[in-house]
Amino acid sequence: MKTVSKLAIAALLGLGVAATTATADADLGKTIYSKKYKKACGMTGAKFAAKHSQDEWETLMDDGEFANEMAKICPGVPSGDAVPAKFLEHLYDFSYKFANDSGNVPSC
Amino acid sequence: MKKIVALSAAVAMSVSASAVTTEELVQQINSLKQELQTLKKAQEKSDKKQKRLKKSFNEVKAHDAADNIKFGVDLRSSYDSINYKTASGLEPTSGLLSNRLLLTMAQQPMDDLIFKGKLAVNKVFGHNNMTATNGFNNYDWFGTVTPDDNVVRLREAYFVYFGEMGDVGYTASIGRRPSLNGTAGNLREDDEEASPLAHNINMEFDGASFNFKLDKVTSIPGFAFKICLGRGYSNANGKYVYTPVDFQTGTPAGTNDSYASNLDTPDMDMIGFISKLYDDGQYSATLNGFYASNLLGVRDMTNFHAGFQDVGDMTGGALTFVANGIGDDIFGFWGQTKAFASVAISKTDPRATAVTNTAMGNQNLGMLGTTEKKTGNSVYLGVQMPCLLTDDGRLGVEYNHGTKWWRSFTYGEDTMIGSKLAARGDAYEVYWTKPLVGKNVDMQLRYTRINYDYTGSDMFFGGSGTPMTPENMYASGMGDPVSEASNFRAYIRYRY
Repeated sequence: MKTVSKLAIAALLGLGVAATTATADADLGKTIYSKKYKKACGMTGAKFAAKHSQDEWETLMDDGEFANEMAKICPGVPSGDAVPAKFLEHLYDFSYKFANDSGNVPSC
Repeated sequence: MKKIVALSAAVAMSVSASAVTTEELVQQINSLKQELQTLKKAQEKSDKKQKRLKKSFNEVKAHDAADNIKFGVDLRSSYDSINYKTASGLEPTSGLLSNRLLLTMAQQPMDDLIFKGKLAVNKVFGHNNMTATNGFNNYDWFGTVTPDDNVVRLREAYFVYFGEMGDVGYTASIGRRPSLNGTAGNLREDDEEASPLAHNINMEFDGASFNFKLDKVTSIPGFAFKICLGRGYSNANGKYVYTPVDFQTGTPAGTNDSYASNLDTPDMDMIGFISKLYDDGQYSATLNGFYASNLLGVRDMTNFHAGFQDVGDMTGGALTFVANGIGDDIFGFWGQTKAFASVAISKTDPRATAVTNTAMGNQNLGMLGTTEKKTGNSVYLGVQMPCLLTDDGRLGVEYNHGTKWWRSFTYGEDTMIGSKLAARGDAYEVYWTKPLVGKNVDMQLRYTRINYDYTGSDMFFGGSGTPMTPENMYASGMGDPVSEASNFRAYIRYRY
């Protein structure tokens, strides 16, 4: 049995070291929203994301209007560069994931 | 020279030709202008149509999203190395392979209404009948957590209605509760956080909850108060029961009284609250409190078929502080580090008339082997941080300690050696979770060790929960209890 344990560890460690993951992250977007914008927006992240469809969020992001749209939706978020660029991608991923036509149901 | 003459002639001819067709050219230009105008109008029309189509498509997509249940899959294959040391020095071990499948369901037919469900199969490799060795293996409090057979069981099924009364947002929810792996306990499981404080409540049950968000009326970030109701045991016989025996009198009590009450084991209920005292999205403090009535104790430790009895009531509570990131930097090491600290208390209120027949042939009275009210305490600390060896792994360390009379409702904690948070003693844990293929496949290595100061952890509430030092119990000839236990787990998990 000790041999099996060692083999299991070795196999998992091997996979663990070999594999990597990436980048923009809806979960991180949720965290950023909760920590930085929930109060300013006066609504849960789920409600915020459901303000637009996935297409609409995508267009806003492509047109560079995501931050301005946040300022429109959230009374406490000033327009302009109030949302740091490093947050945008994660916030966008979160909004896209829980958009009103995503079919994803946020946790309650 | 000849070349120059030829070129001049060609230019002259072309000039004279263009002079002849100027009107035609103007006509052609006008005609082209008209065509361009027509094309422009057609394009505008087409754009409008496309916009309408896109709008309709989005509406269909949104409708479709609300009209269907969204299914998800969570498949975990685990290897558990289980090791015990008993008071006499025996060291039973096991290497257990198991597969757990969770089929998740979610639906949001309206903005203010959601449904969620979770079906579970949790089976041991090559085994389909663990209940042959323990009739409680799939008990209602942990039936989807304990590996056994290939039967699909219900872990969660509930709806939530969201409403508002002025500045107070509220939710109402009924069903089988999302009560596993709540605050702090979800980190080791790499699960989303459920609302109970995992320090003292981590088990499956049916019930209801009503949450009131009071942050706007109090100006305290995240302040909320949730009332929770649960039934841990229903006092009812099955259908077509012919002779439900009253174990107190030893006589048959009825005939063919489907779903009638069993005479001497009342419903076991819990009423409690979970209050977010503060939650700014990063730092939170949550308090819970409960009163559980008519707790179950086995009637006869030599014959578990003799069923349960009501051994008394219990009150308790926990206060849990969580830091979801430390400091202002979100992306750095400290920003990605989570930490928690929790304290909890439990107090028994025994039914003096309860009697448990013990394995020694004598009888234990009341609750946890005594008719006196007893208070227990527990502390639970943990930290989870980015693993510096890999760019996306997470490393966690946890510790908890429970005193002699400590009791928790953590039967649904996913630890193969029994709930570490129920331990009357010390429990240590270290784990490493690492994504392997995007967000869909990950792995975990986890080591849990429990050193028991007293027996009776994680048992029912009657005589079987009596605290004794393992050495005293063994010396008294009452059995050879486990004094140390460890569980090494390795899993690979697919989620989508």
